[in-house]
Amino acid sequence: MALKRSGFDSRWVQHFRRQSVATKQSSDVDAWLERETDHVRKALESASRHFDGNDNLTVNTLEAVYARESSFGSPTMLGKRGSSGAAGHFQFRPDTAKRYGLNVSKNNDQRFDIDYVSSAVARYLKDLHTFFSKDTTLIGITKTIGIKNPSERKKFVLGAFNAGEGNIAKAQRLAQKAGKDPQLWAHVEKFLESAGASKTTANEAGRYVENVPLYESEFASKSPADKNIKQKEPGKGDTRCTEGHWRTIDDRRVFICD
Amino acid sequence: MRLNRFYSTAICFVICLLVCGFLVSWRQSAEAHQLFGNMTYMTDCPYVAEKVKLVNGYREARSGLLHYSMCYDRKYFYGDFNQDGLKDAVVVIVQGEGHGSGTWLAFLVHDGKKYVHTKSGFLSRTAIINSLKVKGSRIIVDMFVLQADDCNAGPTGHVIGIFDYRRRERWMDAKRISVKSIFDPIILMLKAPSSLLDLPSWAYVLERCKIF
Repeated sequence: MALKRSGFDSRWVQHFRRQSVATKQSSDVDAWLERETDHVRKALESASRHFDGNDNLTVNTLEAVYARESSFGSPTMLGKRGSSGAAGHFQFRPDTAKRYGLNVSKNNDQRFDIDYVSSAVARYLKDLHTFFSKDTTLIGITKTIGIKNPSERKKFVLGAFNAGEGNIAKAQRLAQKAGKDPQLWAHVEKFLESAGASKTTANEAGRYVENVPLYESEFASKSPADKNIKQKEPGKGDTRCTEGHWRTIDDRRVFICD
Repeated sequence: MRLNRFYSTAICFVICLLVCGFLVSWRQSAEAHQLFGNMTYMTDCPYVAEKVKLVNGYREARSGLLHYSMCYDRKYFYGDFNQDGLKDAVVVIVQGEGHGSGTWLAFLVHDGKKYVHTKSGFLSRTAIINSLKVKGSRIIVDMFVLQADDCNAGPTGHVIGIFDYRRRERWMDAKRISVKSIFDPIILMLKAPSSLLDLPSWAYVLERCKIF
């Protein structure tokens, strides 16, 4: 027996069906690019200045991460200002946001300001890239193992962005102890649960590392964002970019690392 | 005339009762927030800090290049899940290490004097809790959790999570039962009314909920 719906209900259902059909014809990336305003694109391009010739991170990496974190800042998804949990365009937690120089309060939450938060995310990704470029002591005996292969290294960077760098470093050590290759993401991700991540977090990190590069390559072919703003020269040294100051350049807030 | 006076007195009395009831519940919840937001909790990141004492609902611990944080999410539920006759509590906390974070239930047992954090149950990286019930030793949570292809900010998997306090593990995962309801998008919409103005995200929600 067919379910009888009210007029109001059926109008909404028809509307949503039309919307669903419309989205199925094009990919998720197309839908996200429709949402990408000039302001957002410029903010992401500007943030990509924190990347350099040492890494394979680009403005398209930022676009892919932005899509995966909050579906390009969909208002349904952002969360509450001043929230003590993950919130904002890139679902940053307050402590990570504060570490990268952002204000987090009910009246002024810069996790919701795309200019500020995209810069913070770019610096965090760059720091993670540094951690996994060579053996780095995170704390006590928790050390990362440097990844030689750049494309493998990127998987570790994305995995650490999603599941936390401590968990990944611990999983690398466990993989090494078990006779597996700690420089291969496919081997290391199997040890995430033993490293302390919950089963759901471990599974999700696996999907994150799988999906974000796919989105990134699609953004690379479709997005009008300027990939040449990234510094072409390799950066000198591996200092972290958590300390610094904000300056306004061309009407945009830019973080200058000390 | 006398009847009118009777009605107006009765209405005033009911309003007074409602206001008093609201004030009492507001005061109780403020006291609970004060208590649970300034308690000591175990962490799931012992290599940074084994325990942290929250101050005003938040605490950050650093060690080397790593940092750990915990916050009390201002949600609590009461029930006697260890069945000793004392009122225990379940509190929602968010733990994070680096960017990775997770939403947890902290099971707090009342030992006669104070609450002690004994076990924890994992919900999801981000979770929307619709309701929580304590039935005997079982804690039953109706919630939205992240499912495959969700963006991190938008959990759309409607599940019932069941934790059994009698289990031995200190860090538990829930037994999950999947629920598919025609009302899921409506619940999501009520929790985020701004979505009404954002039709593309509606399509997103519907697609993810796989209702139509």
